[in-house]
Amino acid sequence: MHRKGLDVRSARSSRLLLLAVAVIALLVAPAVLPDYPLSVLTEIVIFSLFVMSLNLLVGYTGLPSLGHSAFFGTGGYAVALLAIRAHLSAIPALIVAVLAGIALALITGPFVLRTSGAYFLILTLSLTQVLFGIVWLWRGMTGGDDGLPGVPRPQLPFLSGVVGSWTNFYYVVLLVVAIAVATLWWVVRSSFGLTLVGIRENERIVEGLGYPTWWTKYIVYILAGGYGALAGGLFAYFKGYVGPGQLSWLTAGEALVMVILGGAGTFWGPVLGATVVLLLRYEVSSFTQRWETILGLVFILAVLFLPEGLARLPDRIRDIRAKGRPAAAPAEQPAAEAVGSTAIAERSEQ
Amino acid sequence: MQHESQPLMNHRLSRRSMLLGLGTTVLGGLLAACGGGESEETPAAAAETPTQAAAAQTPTTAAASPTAAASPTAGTPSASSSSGEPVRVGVIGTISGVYSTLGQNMVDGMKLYLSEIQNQAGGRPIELIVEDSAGDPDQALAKARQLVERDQVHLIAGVTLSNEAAAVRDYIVEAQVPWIIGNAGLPGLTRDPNMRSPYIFRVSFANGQYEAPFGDYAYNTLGYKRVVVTALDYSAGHDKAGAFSQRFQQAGGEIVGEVYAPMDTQDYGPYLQRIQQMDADAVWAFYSGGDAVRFVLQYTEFGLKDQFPLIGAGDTVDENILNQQGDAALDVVSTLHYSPLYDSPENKAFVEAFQSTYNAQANQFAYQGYLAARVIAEALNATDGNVEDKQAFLEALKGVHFTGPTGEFRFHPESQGPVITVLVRRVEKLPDGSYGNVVIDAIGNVDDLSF
Repeated sequence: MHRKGLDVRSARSSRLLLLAVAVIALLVAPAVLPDYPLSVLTEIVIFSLFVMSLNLLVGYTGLPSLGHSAFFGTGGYAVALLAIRAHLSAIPALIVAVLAGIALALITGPFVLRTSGAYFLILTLSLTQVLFGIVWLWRGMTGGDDGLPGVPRPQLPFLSGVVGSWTNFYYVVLLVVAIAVATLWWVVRSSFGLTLVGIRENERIVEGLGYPTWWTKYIVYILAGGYGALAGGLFAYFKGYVGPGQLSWLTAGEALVMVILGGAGTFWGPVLGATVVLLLRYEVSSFTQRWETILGLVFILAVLFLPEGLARLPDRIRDIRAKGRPAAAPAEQPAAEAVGSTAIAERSEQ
Repeated sequence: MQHESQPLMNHRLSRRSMLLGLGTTVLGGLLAACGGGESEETPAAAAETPTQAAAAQTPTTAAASPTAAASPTAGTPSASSSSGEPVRVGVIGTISGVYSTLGQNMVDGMKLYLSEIQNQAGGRPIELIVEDSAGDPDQALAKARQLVERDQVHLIAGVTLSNEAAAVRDYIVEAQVPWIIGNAGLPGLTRDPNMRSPYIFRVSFANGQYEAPFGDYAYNTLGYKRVVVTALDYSAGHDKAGAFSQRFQQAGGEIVGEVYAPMDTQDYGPYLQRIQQMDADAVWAFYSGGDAVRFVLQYTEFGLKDQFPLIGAGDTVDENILNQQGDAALDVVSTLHYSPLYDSPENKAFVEAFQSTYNAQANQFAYQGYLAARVIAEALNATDGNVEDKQAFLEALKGVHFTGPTGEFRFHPESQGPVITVLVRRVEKLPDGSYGNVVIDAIGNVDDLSF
């Protein structure tokens, strides 16, 4: 028992160390990366926030949404319209985008949350299709399928002149996403976050324990909408353009693939999913048009062998290696035990 | 508090391994991205022989992709002087998806012209780097970024769809890369003073450019007084129908109805029924691709063709789909800036070369690609290949003029869009049994600020 406590502590500190390394790597990335890979990284960071917000619904609460692009697009159009028509600067525009996402969730929540499972999926899908239709047909306001070009990229004032505009924008994105992810972390670690997991596992028991499950779902739906709209706003700035594609259910489907591929219900898994999908898209598509086939194969393989997502890959490898090693071999035992107890420790960390 | 809920959490996440994996993936991927950028400096440019161009009509555009160029046989990077270094032209086209033929034909047209000049102009080899935008504005933008930042292209040519063009416009102008639009008809790109730019040239058309003169023609020459317009319900459809309607009304005609159908409509019955109830002399239609096939076939099956003659934009009876429409398309009168049956020695040579290289009939998209490549080559010749001097090169582009397949080609000095000859064409059965758009009239010198 004493030993286990030690392991927990060392596991935690090594994880903190890795987080620090990742943060430093992200901070210094512009110094080593040319503009193009940096723009891919920027997109990965933005999509990470988007899929993490979807993961709140899909992974933590067990609400399979196929309409999360509704918020992504709402944020995008809010930012684009405010930046182009009202020349609003980034901070108020992003705040309005988040509020727009929250408002949309406030309005649609009572309808979609009457259902769960496949019905929830279909209702959220319809929601995003309705918005898609409005945007497509309201050409005077939204530009229809041509979209709205000319969204100016925000810059950090104290960095302008010091670094290039893409690097500067990358830091804007990193800053906003870091703040958002920190609050998300706090949300999922709070008792509220644990209630979500409870709802996913068995809503009736949680309800029986006296938790207001409907309100909990409503609130998480609103939160996910806000975070999704924030990511959508950043994405509009990133592209300098917003079009109905950002609202399309295909975008929502892709985000769902990212979440499931990376590991639904794990905090960092969706980030991994977004990274893999976007790198496949941009790297593989430059030498074959069949990148979607390759993505499909990766997805099938992941579902077959890593049903809980790529985030579980190291654990799987460890399991397989532990299985392959006969427990009777005395010399190996201490190491195997250490590995096993780390795994237990990590599980209990959750 | 956290530990109380352990039984509920059966998703075991090891953040350490997670981060490790994440870090490796991100860095590995990005390093691969840098690596790709460096390796494509290899001088595989000159390899655009006709045979390779022919091979490139297979779905993969490997012949032109940087990865293929970086194959070991291609040799080592040469640090040559700017005069011998290839001019890299990034081509963005919709090569997969519903609109794949549009992008592929355009790329084929470009390659055809380049093979005619041995991939050389102004004393420098020309290297095409083709990227597929898949009809997706986001992907078009990512590809533009990749071409400019990673492949360091000197020029960008192509872009198939209007929304793709809208998405990449700001980026390309900001990056100050001359851009020769090979298809996208988004009118603002050359017509709107706030959107056009010294860096943007268009060899194709602005939506409405060949539809507007048809408004006059339909009223004055064809003698129609009352017309129904019908089009695909998206921006280009509204732009084109709007341009036709406006000029038709100015000429004195009346638009008795407008019917818009969503893209990918399978059954046009409801829309045709609405048209049937109207009292008109003719129906003007804009449809494209599979929608055009279905619309024209169902229009004829519905018996509407006996009631109202069908006229429209050239896309409705494009050469790509004409043989699928067959007899149903007979006698449809349409306008376009191109027809493979236009009678000129330049056009004959182009159509024959295209036929022998790709075993397919040339069409407007191939023609536009051909023009785009020619414009680039002419400007390179005028500047002795010094594409690095951007201002001089832009001036040279502006001044490009030559006799192309449909007569003199030049840019309008203000809009930098093309001055086109609008061809009035009628679908007829040709002696060899195939169908073709026979040119029955031509309206010369139509620029994109004239409507």
